[in-house]
Amino acid sequence: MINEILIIQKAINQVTLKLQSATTQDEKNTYIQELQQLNSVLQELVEKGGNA
Amino acid sequence: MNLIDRSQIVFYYTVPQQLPGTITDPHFLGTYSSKDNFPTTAKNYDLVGLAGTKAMYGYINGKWEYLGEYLHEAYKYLVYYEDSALKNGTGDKWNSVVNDIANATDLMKEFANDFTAMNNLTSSYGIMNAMTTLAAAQAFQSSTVAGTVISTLVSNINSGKIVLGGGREGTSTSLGLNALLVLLSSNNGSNMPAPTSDGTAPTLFTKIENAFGNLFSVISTSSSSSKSPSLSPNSIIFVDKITVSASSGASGYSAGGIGTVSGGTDIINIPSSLHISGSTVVYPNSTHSGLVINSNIYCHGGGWPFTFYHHYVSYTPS
Repeated sequence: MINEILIIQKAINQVTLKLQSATTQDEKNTYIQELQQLNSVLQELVEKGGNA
Repeated sequence: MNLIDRSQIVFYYTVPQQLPGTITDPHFLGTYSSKDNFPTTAKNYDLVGLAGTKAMYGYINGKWEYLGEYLHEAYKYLVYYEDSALKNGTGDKWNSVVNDIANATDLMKEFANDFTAMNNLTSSYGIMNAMTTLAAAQAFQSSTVAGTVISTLVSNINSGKIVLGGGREGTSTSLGLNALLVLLSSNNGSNMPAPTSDGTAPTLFTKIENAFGNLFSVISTSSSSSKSPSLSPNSIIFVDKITVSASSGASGYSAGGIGTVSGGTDIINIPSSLHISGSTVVYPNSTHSGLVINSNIYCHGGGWPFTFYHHYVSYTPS
């Protein structure tokens, strides 16, 4: 059974790495936006108890 | 920290060792050859592998997100955690993961040196027939563990417990020629039997001839002509025998045979002293097994006035 929180966690890690090595402001903005989206999905999952 | 005020909560993330999902999970859709081929519609949290990269992607909010490398975890899962998953898995999804593993050089080295993995391999026709890649062949060739396990496989072929057949590709119930050659090349061909002292074929040779005789190539040479098939590097060649049509004659001609160098006879030697009467069959010398790895073969007829028929078959993993 998939742990959805685990998937989101992995994705956040990967996008964070991309943000850390981004050089242009446009790139950084893109990754920041992705992180915000992933974070809100994570919040939903945490509230639902991991069963999305 | 006020836990009620969500804006004050900060998450610190560590990278777990295990990736989510298993091969059998309905969320795992399989591996795909490129990102362009990923399903365009998927359910949230669906997972795919990108073949050749070990990467896993998850579908989150309408987008495929890179999650990290999954293939080593998939390999360990298949070999260790589902006991017989490696033996019993079927279907396109499972096949795509096995193919990805079979093409991963580092994973195949680990596989070839792992008794559990190799024993599971030899209990499944499906996996044996799938692991015919160059990465697999090279890993098996340099592994003594693989050599030990394949020695048992050869016994099982000789006893009939392992069935040979299904042409080059094999079937779900028989070991194909390509896989057989790859496996026999384990530990640099250490499991090839020596010919028997009376010149009869070793049991393994007979089994191979019976199952795949129609796939053999035959080079006919006469006199001193030396012909070599154009074989690529990485070829695995099984030199079966030389036959001479029924004819008789006195001995005393130059040696003919098959060698790993032009004019050489280190694989099969037709000695000048051989008196040929009726049909003659000569199997590889005791000094060189019938298996030639990463080398070419040269066939010639020496000074004999007859035509020799050189039987061989090869597979070039890629």
